[in-house]
Amino acid sequence: MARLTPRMKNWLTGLGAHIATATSSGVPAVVVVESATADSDDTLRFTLSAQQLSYVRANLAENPRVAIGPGGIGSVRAAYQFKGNGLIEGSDLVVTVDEIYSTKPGPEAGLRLDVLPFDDVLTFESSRWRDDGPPR
Amino acid sequence: MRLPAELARRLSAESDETLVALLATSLSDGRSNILPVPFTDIVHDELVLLPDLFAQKTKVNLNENRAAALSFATPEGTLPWVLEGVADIVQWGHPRRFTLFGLSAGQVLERWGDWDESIEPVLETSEPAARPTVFAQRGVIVFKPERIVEVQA
Repeated sequence: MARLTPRMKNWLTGLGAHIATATSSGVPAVVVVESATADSDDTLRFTLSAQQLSYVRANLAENPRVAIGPGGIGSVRAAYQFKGNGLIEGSDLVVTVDEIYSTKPGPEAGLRLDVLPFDDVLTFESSRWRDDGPPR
Repeated sequence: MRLPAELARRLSAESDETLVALLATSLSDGRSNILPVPFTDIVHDELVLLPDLFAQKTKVNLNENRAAALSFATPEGTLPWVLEGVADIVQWGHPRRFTLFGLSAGQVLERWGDWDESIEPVLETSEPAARPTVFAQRGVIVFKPERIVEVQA
């Protein structure tokens, strides 16, 4: 099980995300949402518009895997990628995250964070970033 | 497909706007990946170019599946467009005559193969950790849009 840090949750809930789905043969489609909620330490909930739901419903029905990048300036300042399984509940897309990666350009790009001890992830964050979320 | 004029302007390296492109790719079994790239340029209003800053997973995906999608973020929020199309990478080491989507590797690498401040100022950010520690480039990702989608939030 992956465990999101408070900083990860703050960026996603504050500025939303770009959510990539794909057909089972690998044709991607992306929706962009402006906010999210964290149901738990590994579960994110995104409310989609009717048009967004229509756009990704078929993909999710045949392939639940999704990849998520933080939105807005979080795309740079919150250099994470989250992967997991997505499920549509009503008008929400609920994603259970099972992989977390660093996307910081340079030698730490692609570093898998969810396999590290949680305290090490917190140390990794605090040694590289001064904020705990988007500007308020 | 020609890009809408406003999007082409905002993706141009000559734009002084901060814009991040997020490139979604996928393995052929549907496992996707999304990569933020804080630099873009365009060619002939038809192709989008992005530096390959050693994006390992993106390269693995594109090696077996060129299908890709591009979405966009700015400090003010997101842009309404998502581009769907195909992408591949022109890499240092390709012969100059190698061509991708009508562009020669020599032409691409000479102009965009060292994507530093000569092309575009390094992203302005108050967060130093957001900058690449070393600006090393393996090549240039070339994205060819085939369809533009406007999905309202």
